[in-house]
Amino acid sequence: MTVPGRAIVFLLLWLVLAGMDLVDLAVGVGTALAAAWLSGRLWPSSGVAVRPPGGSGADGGLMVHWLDVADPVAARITAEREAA
Amino acid sequence: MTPGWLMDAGLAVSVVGLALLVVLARGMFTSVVGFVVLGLPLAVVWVRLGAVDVALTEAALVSGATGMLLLAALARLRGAEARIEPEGGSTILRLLAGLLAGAVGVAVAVAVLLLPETAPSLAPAVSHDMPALGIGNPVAGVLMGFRALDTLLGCAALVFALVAVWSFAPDRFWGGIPGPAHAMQRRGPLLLLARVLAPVALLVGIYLAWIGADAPGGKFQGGAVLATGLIILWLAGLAQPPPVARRWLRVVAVAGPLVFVGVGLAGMVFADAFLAFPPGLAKPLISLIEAAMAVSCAAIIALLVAGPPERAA
Repeated sequence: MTVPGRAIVFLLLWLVLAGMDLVDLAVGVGTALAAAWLSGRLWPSSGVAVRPPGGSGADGGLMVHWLDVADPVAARITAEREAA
Repeated sequence: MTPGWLMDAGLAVSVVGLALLVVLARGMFTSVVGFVVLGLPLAVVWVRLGAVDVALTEAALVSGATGMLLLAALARLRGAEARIEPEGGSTILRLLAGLLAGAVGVAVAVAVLLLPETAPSLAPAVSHDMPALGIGNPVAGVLMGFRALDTLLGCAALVFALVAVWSFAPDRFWGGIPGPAHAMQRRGPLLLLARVLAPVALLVGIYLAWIGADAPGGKFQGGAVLATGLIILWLAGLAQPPPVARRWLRVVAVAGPLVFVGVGLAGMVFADAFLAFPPGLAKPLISLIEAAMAVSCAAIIALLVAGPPERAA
């Protein structure tokens, strides 16, 4: 989710807690922006792309693997092996 | 048998059972976890008694912050537990301690049962004078309007507690970074919790501090929630506490009590006594104190949990 989207979610949470009073709302807007900024710093929008390769198992059951194609798994495993 | 009665009975069983677990558990870790869990039914008990402010304090400060302090102490004692427990006291000493605790419990129960039907109360007097303060939360009114000196001393005690904890720092680390270094989490539940909960703690902490004048909440509860957000970031290695030599950090820690004292002194000039509020300015001044104290409380509680400096800056 983008940072503006998170700001809206945080503002909605504030409205649930504090209600619609205008003075409260002014504080809530600032707080929601601060929370969204912090959230963006901690968890940037990465646009993770996933695709679900499917198939059937030995018992004929449906197998689905959700892979994060943006995750450099091979490079990370190689680095971990070299570090070990 | 009403649902309320059933709930109260369940709470009573939970509280007594968890309290026994805390006291009787073999391992310290079990005791500490039991203590933290005990805070939840206790907070609900306070809600059932209509004391929502006390419930928030119980959950945020007693169970949350104190629980984290106990867990941190337990982590420091790791390895020494086996040596400590056998020296926990003789059976006679334990028996005497149990008898003393039981006697205190019975005395409190008797005192409660002997209370007059209409308990002596200053509530009507407080309610009469509350409109002059302009705030809607009677608890905040008592704490800031009628017992402000007690509240100020409580705030100052937090600063002294922080100085006391910092004084445990080895000389070579004085001015350094509080607490042990935590490895930065690359994946896992702690990372997820930190990323999700820290922004929510920021929002809820500010909310609790903001609405404290008119609804259950306030500087201590809001500060404790804000501190929780900081602590989880430190535990996940996404941030680390600032070195205690940083001047801004010390300013943040003392800002709340200093604003409180400043408003109190201004009362001697513009009103009729120390900590008296000029007519019409009570709510803005109380809000100013609450805001400054919430920030100081957050910093102090988080730094208390982090502990004394253990690393060079």
